[in-house]
Amino acid sequence: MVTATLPDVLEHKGGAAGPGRARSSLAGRHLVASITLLVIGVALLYPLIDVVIASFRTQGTGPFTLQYWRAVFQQIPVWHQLGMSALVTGCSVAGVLVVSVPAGYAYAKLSFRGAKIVFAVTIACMMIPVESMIIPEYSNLAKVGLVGSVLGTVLVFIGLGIPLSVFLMASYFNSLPDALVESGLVDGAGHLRIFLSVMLPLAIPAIVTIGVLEFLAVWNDLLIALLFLPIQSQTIAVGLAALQGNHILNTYVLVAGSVLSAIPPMIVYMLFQRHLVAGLTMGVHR
Amino acid sequence: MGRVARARTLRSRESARAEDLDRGRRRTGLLLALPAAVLVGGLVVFPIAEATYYSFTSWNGETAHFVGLSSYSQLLFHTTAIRQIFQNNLSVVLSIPAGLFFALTAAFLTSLRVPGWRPFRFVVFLPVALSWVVIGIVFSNFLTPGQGIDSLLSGIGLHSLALDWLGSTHTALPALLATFNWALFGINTVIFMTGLASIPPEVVEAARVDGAGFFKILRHIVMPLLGRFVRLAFLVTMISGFSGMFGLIYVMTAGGPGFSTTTLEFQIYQSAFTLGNFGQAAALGIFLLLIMLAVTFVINMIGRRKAADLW
Repeated sequence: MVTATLPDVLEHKGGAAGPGRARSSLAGRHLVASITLLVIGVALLYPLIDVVIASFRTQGTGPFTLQYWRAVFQQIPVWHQLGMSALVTGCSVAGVLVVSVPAGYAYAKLSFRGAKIVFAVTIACMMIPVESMIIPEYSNLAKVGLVGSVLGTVLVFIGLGIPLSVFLMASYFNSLPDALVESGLVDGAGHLRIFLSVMLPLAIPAIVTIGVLEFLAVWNDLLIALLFLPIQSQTIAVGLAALQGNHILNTYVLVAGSVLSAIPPMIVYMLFQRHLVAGLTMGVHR
Repeated sequence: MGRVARARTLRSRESARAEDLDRGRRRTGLLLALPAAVLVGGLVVFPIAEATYYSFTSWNGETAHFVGLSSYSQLLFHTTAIRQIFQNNLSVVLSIPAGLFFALTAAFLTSLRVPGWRPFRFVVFLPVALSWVVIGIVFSNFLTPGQGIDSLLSGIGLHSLALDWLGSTHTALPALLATFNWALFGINTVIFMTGLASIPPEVVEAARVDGAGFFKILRHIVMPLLGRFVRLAFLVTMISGFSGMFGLIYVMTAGGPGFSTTTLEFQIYQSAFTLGNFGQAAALGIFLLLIMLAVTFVINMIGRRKAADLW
């Protein structure tokens, strides 16, 4: 680490205590802190590990078995459901990116008449709980025959995803210097050209961030898919939730199914942890 | 005379070009912003306006009769179920400080950069990638009598605590809220880590030079500077608890036993899609929105006043 951080300073005991004693008490404190972190980490993971291990044992406590994991593929249409999750998530992420990135740029760099008020209304939508608008939404889409369709579901996800994405993109583009636009204009490029060939490549980190946030939001959603997708063609999240609690299936089959459903978001998390942290601390919303 | 005229045409040519550019900028801006604006307008703003209207009607999804404030007055004064639901939402809020306390502790230890902090951060943040469905299924199993938590408690001699956590009206809500705070632990820890990293070391160094000890610095410098991050974490958790917990409730308890784990958010779904009372659901939705706006406003006011004291 190049610059001194808060902990460096906090720990830099000098003078009176004497270097030797300071170091040993520091090492002792470090040891205590490390052990505390270990304990918290184990306590956090314990329920997950305990339940996953149980899914490999007969009745959860008996000898090792793969019966529940085999049953997942026989008793639940997991491949179809994973495919639905992938389809809905892919379309929603693409849709949100295609409309939010240009809009964020427009609000940050291309003021037009009414831009301020429209931007403010868009941002305000971040505060609206899904449940407050979902009922008229449902009846509106039902009127035009889009309830029970992938298109309708994706539209709802896009509508809900835009406010946060536009907000994050606008703040990112705001942080880029206006001089980039001006030099483009001097070179004779139009605004559209500047956006596409100068600004867009620079915005890739922010685009990845909102893509990851939207991916997790849609893949992990229950309510929207439950209401707007056809019953026989559900996402994996809805498929599992519908089976939970009705005692048709052994609970360990459901556990195995949920582990399966968590693999794609876990991969995304491992690949993009840094982007995710950046996005969540910029404008948090889930 | 000639020179003046030439200057004038030059200037007008320049201003014509500037005007062109200006028009181009406005037109491109409008073009790029339009799709997002239309989608948000049609899919979020318009439904909210409709919900506001329908909240004054008795609406079954097809026909709506104007009934004024009766949906709201029913909410506020009548059924015991509603009172229970409001209490549950209050419990959500009251559970947050405990969760934040643990997250703050973890963030502080992590920011000391002791050995193992990187894997710890990875583990702690992991639930962010898990859905409520996955978390709900895992914890339902963990809390089932005779499994996970039972064997853990029996193992350390606490047989008396081996309860049917999700099956009893007394323990279902605490168990649900513990799971909820477990899931948000990671996000809050990361928010606090960001906060701790934002404190300028010079300030702490100066206090040390003035003779302040470890705990004094913690109490008088670190905590006040963390204030706005505590507020952010509180808001994030509250918003999630009020309007983002549907999946967890649906999977773990379906709002029961009785109404013991039904929050306002969950009741909106129940009113509309199991009872078919869309008008009441719309009123509940508007009510939820108002509560959230009010709480956000109050928390920001508290923050501002504290900051004013500080200066």
